[in-house]
Amino acid sequence: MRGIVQRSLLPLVLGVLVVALWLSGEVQEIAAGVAIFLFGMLMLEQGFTLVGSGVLERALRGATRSVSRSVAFGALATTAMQSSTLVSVITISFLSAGLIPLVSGIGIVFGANLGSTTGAWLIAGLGLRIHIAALAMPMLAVAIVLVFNRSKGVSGAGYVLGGVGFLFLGIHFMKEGFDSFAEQFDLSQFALGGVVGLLVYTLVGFVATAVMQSSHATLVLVITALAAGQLTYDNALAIAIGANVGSTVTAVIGAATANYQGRRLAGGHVIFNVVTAAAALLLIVPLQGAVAWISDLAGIGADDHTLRLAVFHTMFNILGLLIMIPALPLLLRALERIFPTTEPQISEPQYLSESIATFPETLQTAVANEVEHLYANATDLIAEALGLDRDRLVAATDVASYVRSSRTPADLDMDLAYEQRIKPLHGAILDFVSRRTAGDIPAGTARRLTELRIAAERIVRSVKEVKHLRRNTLRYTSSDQGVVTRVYDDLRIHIARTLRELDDLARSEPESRSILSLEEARDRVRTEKRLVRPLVEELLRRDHLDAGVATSFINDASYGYRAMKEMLEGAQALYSEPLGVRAEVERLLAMDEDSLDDDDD
Amino acid sequence: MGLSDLAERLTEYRSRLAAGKAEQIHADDVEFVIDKLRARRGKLTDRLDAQECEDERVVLERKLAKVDDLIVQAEWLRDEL
Repeated sequence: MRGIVQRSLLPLVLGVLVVALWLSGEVQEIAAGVAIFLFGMLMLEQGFTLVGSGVLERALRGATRSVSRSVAFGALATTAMQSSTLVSVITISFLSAGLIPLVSGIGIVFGANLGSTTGAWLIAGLGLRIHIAALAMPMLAVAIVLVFNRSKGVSGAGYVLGGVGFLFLGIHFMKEGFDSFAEQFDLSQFALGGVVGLLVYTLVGFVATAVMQSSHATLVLVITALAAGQLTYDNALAIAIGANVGSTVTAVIGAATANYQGRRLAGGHVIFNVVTAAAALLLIVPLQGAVAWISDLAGIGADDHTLRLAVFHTMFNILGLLIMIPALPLLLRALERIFPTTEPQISEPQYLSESIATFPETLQTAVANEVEHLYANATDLIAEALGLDRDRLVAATDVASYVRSSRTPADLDMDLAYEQRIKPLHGAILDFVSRRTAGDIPAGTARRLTELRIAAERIVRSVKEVKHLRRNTLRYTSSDQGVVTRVYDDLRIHIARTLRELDDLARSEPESRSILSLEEARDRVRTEKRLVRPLVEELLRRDHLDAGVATSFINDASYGYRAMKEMLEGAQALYSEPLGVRAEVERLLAMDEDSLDDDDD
Repeated sequence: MGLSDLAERLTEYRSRLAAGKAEQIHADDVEFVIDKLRARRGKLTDRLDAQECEDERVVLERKLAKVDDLIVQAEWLRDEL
């Protein structure tokens, strides 16, 4: 049934549109106005993505210190860009990438709702009062020259200018269309009063916004129709309420590819808008009274319904904020219950999402987070493979004693664990990075993503090396068998210390983290690896090891040191300074990778 | 790695810089790295003071020695730049 409805919706909408366009030239003008307006919105979003997403990303990071800052950021960003959709989509991306907490995301979306009310003010206050088509023409002419420029910034500015030009032109066509329409046909005869009118026109606003995916487009239609006397003021208010709820459809679609945090945000957006709409419907009479009072105070004429609609739109969104901000803790708890945290799906990516693909800085952070996730899985598995527990290892006050006392290995199918915890995650990182680096992304971002891919490959290689040495290590360390147990324990201790080093680096605050803290561990790998052969030869001379065990240990130590080298080099790539010039300083001070190579194998 | 290795790398970096294949390092950038090393030194010292196990003290002393070595090298680098 749902399939049939979905399949027949597009032909139905197109059919109705064709008939309406055929019957009336004015409808053609209005529909063209809506289409041009929506095209302008698309250009505006494209322009801001090109020219301003980096700025927006940086600003968004600073907006997480308090709820009021988040709300203010959402309102200001939406006012500046005239697109709550773009702000919501970026917020979902940031949440999915683990860059901002849910409470900040919700605050931004609340603020974006308030910011979107400035659109009604611009249309009612400016769009209908001046001849905006005259402004649109030069804007479009200049914009098209800029759009074809090779520089992303200039091209983005062209898109923004062109977007505003098309918005103006769209408003002009809608206004003209409704003016002509009013001479032949009076749509206001379909006006409905009372509760029925309120509910029916709220539904109309919801459907129109859901179809056009833009509450701005609905509002501009309503305001121009209102100005032409084709809609009653009361019905226009109801459409504005419905448009607010309809605008959540875009966020819900955007969250479809996001993780549970993105879904929580979309859920919060829906709840906010539905609660706000319900409050506005229930309090419509006192709200209208308040609008009249404020409008009179501001000198807005009693017959200036378009500006009064803008006042109403702002007021009921402020009402929503007044209701929802005190209820924020309750809302967060409800969202966490409705969309529970996905149990750390060991083998599934947690941060990679298609929704972040267009934001270079978020992209880098999300991939880095995912590689860290892979590191956590890999170091867990390496510890387990050697009969150790990573948590107990990290907490141990004496690593050597802890390792020597660990004689009961966990029941682990190493191949299965690799297939479940490492391979799918590594595959997802590889796939994601390959797709992004093949696309149009800044050179610096592509370079960083490649470094991160290499970091992922190195930790995977270290797991494979540990797989090789596991059998003998467990065989000789499950019980105390004298010298052989001691040499294998020493190898385990060395790997355990390397795992602790990585854990220490991962847990340190990014502001104080430096890959140079791995230098001692890298130095140790180099020096101790060189001591393996002399040690084994000495033990053979003293008959403490037989030749077969000695050969096995030399091979296993080789695997072990290669594993440590891969872990440490990968961590260097993962945690190197994000600023190129500081990373250069670190590279100058760090030991060459060649020094760690297997020159004695 | 000693100062002679670092001097070699610095020469190699300067050739890359002259060829336009590297960014200019300023004293501030090296100072930034030195600050992190000093912070690391402070943490290691605290951990050493609190550590009672002899094996772990040896490991921490080795780390401290390495950080001190890196600080000396970084200061030399800053002065050279």
